[in-house]
Amino acid sequence: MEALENLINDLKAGKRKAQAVLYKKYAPSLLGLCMRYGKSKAEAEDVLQEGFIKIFEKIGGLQKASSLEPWMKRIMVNTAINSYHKNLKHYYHQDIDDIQIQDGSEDTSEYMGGITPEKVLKSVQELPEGYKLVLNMYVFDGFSHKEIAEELSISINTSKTQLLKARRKLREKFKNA
Amino acid sequence: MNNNNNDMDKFLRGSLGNLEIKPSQSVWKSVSKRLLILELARLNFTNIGKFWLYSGLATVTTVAGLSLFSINNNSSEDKISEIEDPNQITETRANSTSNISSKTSTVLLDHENDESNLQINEAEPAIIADELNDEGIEIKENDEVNQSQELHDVTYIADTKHPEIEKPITKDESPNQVEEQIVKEDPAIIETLAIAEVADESQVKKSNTELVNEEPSKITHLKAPDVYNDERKEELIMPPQSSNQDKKPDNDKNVKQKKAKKINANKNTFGKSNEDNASQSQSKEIAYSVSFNYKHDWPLDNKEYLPQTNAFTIKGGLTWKHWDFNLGIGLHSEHINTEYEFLYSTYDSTGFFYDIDYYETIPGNPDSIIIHYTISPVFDTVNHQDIEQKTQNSRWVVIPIEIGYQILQKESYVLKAGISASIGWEYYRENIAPTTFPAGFNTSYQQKGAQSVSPFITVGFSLENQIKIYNKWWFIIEPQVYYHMKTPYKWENSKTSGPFGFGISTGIKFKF
Repeated sequence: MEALENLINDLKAGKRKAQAVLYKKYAPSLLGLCMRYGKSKAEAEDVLQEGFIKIFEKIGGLQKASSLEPWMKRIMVNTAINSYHKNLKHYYHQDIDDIQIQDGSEDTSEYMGGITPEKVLKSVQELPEGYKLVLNMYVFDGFSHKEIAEELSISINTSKTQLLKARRKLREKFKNA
Repeated sequence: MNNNNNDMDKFLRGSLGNLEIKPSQSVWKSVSKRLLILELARLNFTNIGKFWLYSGLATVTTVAGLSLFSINNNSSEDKISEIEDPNQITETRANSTSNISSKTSTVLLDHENDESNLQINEAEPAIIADELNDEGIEIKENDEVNQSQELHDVTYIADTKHPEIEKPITKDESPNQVEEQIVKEDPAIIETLAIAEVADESQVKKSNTELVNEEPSKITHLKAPDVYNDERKEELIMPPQSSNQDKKPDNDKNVKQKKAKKINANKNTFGKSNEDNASQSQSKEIAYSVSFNYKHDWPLDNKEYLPQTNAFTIKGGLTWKHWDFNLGIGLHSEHINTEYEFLYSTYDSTGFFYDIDYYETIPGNPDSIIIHYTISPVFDTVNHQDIEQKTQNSRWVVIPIEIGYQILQKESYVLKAGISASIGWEYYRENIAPTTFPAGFNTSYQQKGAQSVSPFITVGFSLENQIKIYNKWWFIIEPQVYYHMKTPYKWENSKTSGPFGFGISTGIKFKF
C-alpha cells in the first residue's frame, strides 16, 4: 500500500516514470474493459489512450490510494461513453413501447458451458452499440438503470429494453455458436 | 426469467470480468507524446530530460552568440572596407595636410563604433595644433569641434611623451626646419628614424616628393573641415606647388623617414577597429580569470548501468593572446541505483488434497451418504521474482586542465574551442543496500551496476561560450564531448577505456 501511495505521489508530481509504471500495471485490464465497449482492438486502444490522458490529468483529485483502480475504471467507462456520444448519430435506440418483450425464460446454461471468453467477447463486441453500452454498464460496471439513463440521456425503460435485447441477442449467438 | 438473467450476467462477468489484453506499444508512445505536448504547452519541463534541456540551452546560446558576432562583424567589415579605399589611402599619403585628416577620419569612424574607448589626452590638442600650424594650416574657432576631435584622434599615432615633440614650436618655422632641428638635437630620433621600416617605398617616395613640393602659404586657405570633407575629391585638393625646390637632400631624407614612419603608423591603423587594436595591445598581456563551474555528464552508451555524473569545479585561468589556459580542482560525483533482480523458487503449499477414507450411510436412510476424509496439503514449486535496489554514491577529487583558443572574440561574447583533460581520484563511496533480501531456494540475481570504482582520466573537446553579463562577470556554457582514457567503471568483459560521453558545463567567470 505504501508503494502505491508513493506511486500516486509521483503521479501527482507528474513524473513520467511513475506514469509508465501505472500504465504498465493497469493497461491490460483497462484495455479489457475498453474491448467490451469497442468494436475492435484499435477502437478500444483509442479509448484507452484517451482515458489514460484523463487519468494523468486528473490524478491530483484522487483522495485515497485504495480507490485508484475503481477510479481509473470509472474514467475509462466515462471515456467510452463519451466516445459513444461522439458517434451517437450512427446509433439508435428503440423505446420499450415499440417492441414486444419476450420472455427470456429459456434455459441457456446448457450451451454456455463450451463458450470461450474470446467468443463471448466477440459476441459482445458485435452487439449493436446501444445494447452493448447498456449491457456493459449494467452487467460489468455496476451501473443501475437510473444511472445508465442519466449517463446516456435515455429513459429508464429504454435502458431496460436495451439490456433485455442485448441478453436475447447474446443467447442467440451462444446458441448458434 | 430472473434466474436465467442472473445466470447470464454471472456467465458474462466470469468470462469477461477480469479480461486482460496487452495493448500494442504504440499506445504508450502516443500517450507519452500527448502528455509531453500538454506539459510543454503549460511550460512544465518536469519530464524534459536534462540532456535535452541543457543541449537546447547550449545550442541556443551558441547560435545567438554566433549571430551576434556575425551582425557585429558585418558592420565592422563595412567600415573597414570603407576605410581601406585605395583612393583614400593614396590621397592620405599624397598630402601631408590630408594625411592628418584622413587619420582623423579613420579613428573617428572607429570611435563611432566604440566611444567608450576614447581617452582624451589633455596635451594632445595643443601638440596637433602646433603640427597643423607647422604645416601652415590655419585653424579657425568655428572649427573647434572638428579640430578637437581630430586632435584627440590623431594622438593615437603621436608620440606625445617625447620631450622634443612636447617642446613648443614657433609658427614661423617651416616643417623641414623643425624636422631638421629635432633631428639635429636628438640623436635618438636619428637612430629611430634610421631603423624605421618603410612599408611601401614607392608611395613614401611619392609622398616625400609631394611633401617637399608643398608650399605652406598656398594651402593656408584650406580649413580643417574642408580638408576633412573634401579629402576624397581629388580635384578639390590643390596640387602641390613647388616653392622650395632647393631643399637639401639630407632634409628630404629626414622628412622622408619621418613620414615613412607616420605612414607605417597609419598603415597599422588602417583597416583595424579600435577593438582590434585594443585586443592587439591586450594580446601582448596576460589576463587572469577565475571561474566556478557545474558540469553534468551523460555517457553516450546504451548500457543502463553507466550513470550520469556531475562535478563542481573552481578554475583559475590565464589568457595570453588568443590562448586560454585553465587549471582547477573540484568534486566529481555520481549517484547510481543498481537494481538486483532476484529469481527464486520455493516449495510451497498450493492447496489441499481431500483424501477420502471411507463412506457410510445413515442407518435407516439408505440414500444418505457420509464421507470420511483426511485433508492433506499439496505442495508444489512456486517461482518468485523480486527486484531490490541498491544505491551507490561515489565521489572523486578531480583536477581539470584545459587549453583553448578563442576563435571568436567580441566585446561581450567569446567563443573558445578547447581540449581538456580531467584526472579524478575516488575518495568516498557508500553503498546503501536493502536490509533484507528475499530468501528462498535457488536464489539467483543479476548485478547491473559497476562492481568497482577507481580513478579515471578523461580527455575531451569543448566549445566554450562566454557571454558578458556584468562588468567583468561572464556567463559560461560549454558543451563537451569526452572520452574515458581510463574508465572508472569495471564490469565483466569491459574495456579499460571508454565510453564516450557528452557533458554540459555552466558557470560564472570573473576576468581580472
